[in-house]
Amino acid sequence: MSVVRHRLVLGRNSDQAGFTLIELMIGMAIAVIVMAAAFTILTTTSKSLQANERIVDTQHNLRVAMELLVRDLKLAGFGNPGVPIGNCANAIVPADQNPTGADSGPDSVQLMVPTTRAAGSNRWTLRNPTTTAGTTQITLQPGAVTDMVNSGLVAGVSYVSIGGSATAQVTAFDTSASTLNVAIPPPLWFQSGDPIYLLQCIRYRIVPAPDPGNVCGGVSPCLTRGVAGVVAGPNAEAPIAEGIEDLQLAYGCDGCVTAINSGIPDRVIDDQNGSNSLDQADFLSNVVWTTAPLTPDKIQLVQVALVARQSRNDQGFGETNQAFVGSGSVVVTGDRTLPADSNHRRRILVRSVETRNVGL
Amino acid sequence: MGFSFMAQYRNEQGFTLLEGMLAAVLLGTGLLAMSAMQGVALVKNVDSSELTRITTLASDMMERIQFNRRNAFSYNGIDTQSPANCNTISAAAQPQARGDCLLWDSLVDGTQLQNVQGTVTVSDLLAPTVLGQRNVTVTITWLGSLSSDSTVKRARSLTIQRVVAPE
Repeated sequence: MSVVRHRLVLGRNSDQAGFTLIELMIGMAIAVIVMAAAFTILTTTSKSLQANERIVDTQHNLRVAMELLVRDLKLAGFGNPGVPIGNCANAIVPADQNPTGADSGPDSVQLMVPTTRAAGSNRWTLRNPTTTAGTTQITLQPGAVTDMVNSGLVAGVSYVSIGGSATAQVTAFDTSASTLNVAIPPPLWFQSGDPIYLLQCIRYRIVPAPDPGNVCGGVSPCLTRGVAGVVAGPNAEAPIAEGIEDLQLAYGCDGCVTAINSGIPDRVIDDQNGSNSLDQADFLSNVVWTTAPLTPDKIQLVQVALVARQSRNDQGFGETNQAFVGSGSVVVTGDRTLPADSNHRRRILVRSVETRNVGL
Repeated sequence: MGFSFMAQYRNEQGFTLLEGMLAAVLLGTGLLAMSAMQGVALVKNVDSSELTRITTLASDMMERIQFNRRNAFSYNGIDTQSPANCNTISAAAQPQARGDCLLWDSLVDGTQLQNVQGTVTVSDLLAPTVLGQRNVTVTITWLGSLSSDSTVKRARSLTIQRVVAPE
């Protein structure tokens, strides 16, 4: 009975009958089409994910670089003792790549900035208040002075800013007692917990590709921050953002043209080109900033232009690993023209910063 | 009767066409969702890029006003889409504010974002007026990139507010 019915249904003679060749081929063809679709989506997804991640990283690097640079520009000159700190004779020491014409590389800049450690058991803060005016020795948290020495504190050379209101030279220190010998000007005294800032000359520069010294840790170009030439310790020149290709700085100066208000700052950026208006040409790039009246203490506005690119080649979505998109056109920032780059996407940010502590 | 027969021999039957089609539809839906996810990720990426540029632009203007804080009120009413923008600021009396306005105008236009408009509003003196404090608001609006789930471009805006005092 069941055999008969089986024959009726399957139209075949045996329970063992599998697929026919035709059925198998059709099934396989359909399976191949489905698999191909799935695989295409998989590879496309994976490639776009990779591209996406690279763009996100680029944007992130650019944001971080701009944020750090702008923060230090705002701080530059805070607690300036009026004597050179390291390479910084002034709060800002600009270094145009080519002061005589258009640049062929990125600029760099050195900034006199206060550095501190705000957290941790060895934070750089006063352990005891200075209860009487005219104190000559201050006590910091245990381990703080050792940390400061590692960061570049040298007796008879370094300056600290105490609580942000008194700048004094460190004449001697004791790492085990965590004390600094400083001459605090008489009317000032301080609470425990007031922060101590070590003034340092920090350089921002771009290490271009290729990077023979491996400063960027394998991914060049990169933006580095640190005391120029120092290779070890917390303030060594270290990469802070990879893929930063260009840094261009232009400076707006107030009091640099003797014909305007007798060279006295009037809180208007000097009209450098005689156009009777403030325009882009009033932001100076090709200046050495060592000869009066063009001196760095008169810099009031800084225009920062940063260009970031993908730190690795773009691979595109095709099968040949060819970039399908990149920066197809040249990029002009400041007085530098970057050639087109078909292998890397680029991101550009430009903004102005007021130097709050430079002229003080 | 046919049904009971099917039940009896089910374990020799393979998939029905219906089952196969259902599975294909499910697979397709999943794959489509994955593609859609890529679209969302890309759109968000463009969004964040735009936001970074606009934030930088707004901070740029804020910083210019901060530098020229004694004349902060001169910046009131800046509107990059107004044809008379910056012309209301006297070139002789407020060279810095006028220059800032013109430079910022070109920076805003230079973003090439759709319908991008930058405005600056400066309040009257805040109480107590002797401090000379003013509330400065920099707003930039623009049409964002395509949203992944609709064809309507989204109006986006960014506002930065800060109290500026002469010294």
